[in-house]
Amino acid sequence: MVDLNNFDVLRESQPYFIYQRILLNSPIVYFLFSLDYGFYYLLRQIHIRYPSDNGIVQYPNLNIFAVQKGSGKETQNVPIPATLFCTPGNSNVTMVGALSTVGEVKAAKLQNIVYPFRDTMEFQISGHGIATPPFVDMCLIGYYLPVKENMMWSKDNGSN
Amino acid sequence: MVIKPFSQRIDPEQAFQLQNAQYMERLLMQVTVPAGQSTIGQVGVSNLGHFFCMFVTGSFSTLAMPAAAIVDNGVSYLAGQLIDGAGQRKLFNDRIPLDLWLSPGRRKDATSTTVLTDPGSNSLFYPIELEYLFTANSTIILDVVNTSNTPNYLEICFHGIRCISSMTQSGRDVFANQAQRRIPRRGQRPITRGQ
Repeated sequence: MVDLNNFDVLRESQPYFIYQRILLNSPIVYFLFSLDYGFYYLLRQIHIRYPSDNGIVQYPNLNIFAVQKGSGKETQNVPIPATLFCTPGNSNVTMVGALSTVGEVKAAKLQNIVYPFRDTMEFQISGHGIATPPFVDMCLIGYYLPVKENMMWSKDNGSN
Repeated sequence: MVIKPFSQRIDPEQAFQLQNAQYMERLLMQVTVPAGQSTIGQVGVSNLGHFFCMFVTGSFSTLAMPAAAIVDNGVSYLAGQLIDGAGQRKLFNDRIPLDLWLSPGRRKDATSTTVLTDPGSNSLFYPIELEYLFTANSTIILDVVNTSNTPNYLEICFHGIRCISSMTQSGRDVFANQAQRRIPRRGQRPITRGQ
């Protein structure tokens, strides 16, 4: 039940979707996003979309390696094909210039990874092997969660 | 295996009392985005109570006019950034193409001249999770841009729970109730009901 006592607490966390268009112009490209001070980031899902050519998947070896620097843990043994845990994946329509055709959002595996504040989320994308550099649209679905120890969230402003 | 009928798992009286205070609600936002422009779509959260959004679904058109006629070419022209109107808190880092975060997504549109041969509308797969507490008497804002040379249309549905404010529910001023519970300072008379 939302009331005056927990209203502020509930308002502290917020969804935050992070989007970036990535040009695959080298064997490994990076999706980087630096987190602000004061918030953890709870990553729930990864939505990724890449072009195709008349229904033929153009980049079947598009792999993602998620690096967790803050926790110092290796959560993957190798880069994993994006189609195994992301959506919508192949858009099934030929690209038109720099425009991207729509995909269809379907099931994506829940990630449930918490990144500490001031960490840089890093995803290494690799595997494409064609002459023309394609681009990939990537969107992280997640939440900002406040760091409770901080003075701004702990309700202790020093005047109590 | 013990099968419990629905009426045994749910106490209707208790459920009804709970429903008086909070219940499922949907808010629909409909936006027409002019050709080559950005616009602000918004839906109001009335002062009935706070709205705890839990999921979001949406559909949009993919229209363009390469020649003299409007066609549906399936290109993602719309991108939007969701903003909490109370304090202008941004919920996305940038405008995100709608097909990356909305299900069902693409739909047919009657303004296409090739509507009979256009691909069918997508089916709802699952709603995207978006848990956020929008305050009463505020607005949900979508800053959306259309890169097509013809107008495009979108509809977004916010699924959540309306939390009736105690002021509305009981007819009393909650802040007055707070004052009654306040601990009096030294030498100060306690605040009692009726004062």
